[in-house]
Amino acid sequence: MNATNPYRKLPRRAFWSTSVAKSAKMKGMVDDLWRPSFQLTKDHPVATVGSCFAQHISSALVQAGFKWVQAERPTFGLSEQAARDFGYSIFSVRTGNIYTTKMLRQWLSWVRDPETQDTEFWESQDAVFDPVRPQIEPGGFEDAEDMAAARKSTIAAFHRAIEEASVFIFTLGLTEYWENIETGLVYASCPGTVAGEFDPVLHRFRNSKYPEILEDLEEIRKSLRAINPDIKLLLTVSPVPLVATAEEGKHVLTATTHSKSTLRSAAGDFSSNYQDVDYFPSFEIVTHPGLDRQMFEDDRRSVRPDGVDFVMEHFLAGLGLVHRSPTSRRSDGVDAIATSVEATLKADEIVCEEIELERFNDNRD
Amino acid sequence: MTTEIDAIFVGDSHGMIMQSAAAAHGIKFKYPVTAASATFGGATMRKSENGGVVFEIAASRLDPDRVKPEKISHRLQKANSIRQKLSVAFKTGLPIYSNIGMTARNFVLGIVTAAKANGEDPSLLSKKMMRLAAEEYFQQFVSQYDTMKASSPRVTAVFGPTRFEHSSRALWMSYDDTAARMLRERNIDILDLRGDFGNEDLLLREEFYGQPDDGVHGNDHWGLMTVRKIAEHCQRASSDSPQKNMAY
Repeated sequence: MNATNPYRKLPRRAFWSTSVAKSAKMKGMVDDLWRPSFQLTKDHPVATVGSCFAQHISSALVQAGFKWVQAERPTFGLSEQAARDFGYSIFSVRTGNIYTTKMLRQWLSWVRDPETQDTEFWESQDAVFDPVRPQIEPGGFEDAEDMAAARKSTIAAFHRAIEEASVFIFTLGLTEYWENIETGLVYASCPGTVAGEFDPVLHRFRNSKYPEILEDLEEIRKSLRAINPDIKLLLTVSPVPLVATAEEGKHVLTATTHSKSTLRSAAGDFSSNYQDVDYFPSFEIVTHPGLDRQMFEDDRRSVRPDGVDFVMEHFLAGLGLVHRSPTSRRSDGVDAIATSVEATLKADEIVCEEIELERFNDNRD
Repeated sequence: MTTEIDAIFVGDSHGMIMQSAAAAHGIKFKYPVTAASATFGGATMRKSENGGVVFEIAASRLDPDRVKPEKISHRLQKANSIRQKLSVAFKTGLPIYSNIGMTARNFVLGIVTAAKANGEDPSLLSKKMMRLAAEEYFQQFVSQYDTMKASSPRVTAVFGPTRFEHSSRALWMSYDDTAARMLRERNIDILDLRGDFGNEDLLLREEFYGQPDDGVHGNDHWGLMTVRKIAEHCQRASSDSPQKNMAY
């Protein structure tokens, strides 16, 4: 028998016992978890969009001193709270949550050619809602003209964000989505939940499969690079479980696992195809039981502040901005992130359309 | 012969034009208190325990890191002068006319400048957001009007000259409407003279532009006519009001 084999030369990070098990035992970070495939320093402008969890990334980047692209800024005169209510300062542009690859692909197609955008709007008694960001204007827009103008502004800002950014971070959240059968418009939420009226003839449930997500990611990358050929794409998958599944006959637990596994797998495979695309493992850091950490609040869905903090510590460590051994104490920068994350969560400032689905759970105990 | 309007006038730079133009024609307010608009922006104006008035300029205008000491000293002196004048004036209980915060220019300029600096188009703002921004911006004047209202049964706000660029008319009007609504909610009257001096869009007519024109203010003719309208309003309101004798 040969005395050497490929496993003998593998580093500590390649073995569970010397990486995951050790960090779990030490209650510390997982050393060398993420090695970025492209350079990202605090001087590189970073744009962020995505699901609810992406909001943590935005605020943590700001706190850590990164150059966060804010292409759509609150208007002069608006207070900080009002600005947040109107969806400013949450993502780089005022898109609201972009949960799916399908949704980002749709946005980017409009960014590249605004003339192609769908003009559907949802009208209630005294307000008009944007189907791709129904919560962006508290209480809705006063008329369709206002909605169209605001969309135009966001699309222009989105273009600027891509032009300006060195790195575009997209946090994938869901595979499930709803669309208009006739027009193909992808909605941010099921009509009739946050706003709009559900029409079973017009509205269809879809659950993206792996090949579709890969195809969407290809299109997303193509669109981003068409606007900014040097831009890098950093993918993450939100560890936050589904509020509810619309997949017939499915349990929300298996639906969550299915959805997240598909997203995780697609993001991993896609990033391995391109040097300008990378994957950061926020999903694993939060959800893997091997790390033996209490990461969720009592609702078993919201990520605890220290969990978000733990994710961002790994992010900074991967970039070489925080060097920590499993037992080391926090640096000032990491403390600043922790404080920011905690404050954000305490203030209940996470803006999340999906959570609205919980209102429709008629069988609560 | 001098005509004295039995009223207090609290005004900004537009008010100064009104005051000086009227004075040149022998018309003056009994208690005029005027200063540049920035003096009133975010200022604290409240009744003191001894019945006088506390007037403090916004802290940001006294920040030693940004403002030279001599300027701070000048601003403090100005604030003290306003405090003294308001203390004397408000004790009389006379009707108050004020135009502070009643010109949308700074608000519109702030929005347009900030939006353009960020590559955005301010004309794309929704009506709801414009109103909310105006409401939050006007908050800096609200407590001052509340103090006026607590000092006099009759407080009337007067719009300044409307001098918007065509593209920013919606912003300007949104601000005017919001300011007027917020003041009416406080039982403060609005003397709306925009139509008297403006065209069909309420934009100030060119005959009221200064020579040379600074693009901001109205001319002396505008100032004089505005004060005359205030005088008429004051006289009419005094004769109409069941509280007319309260103040004198």
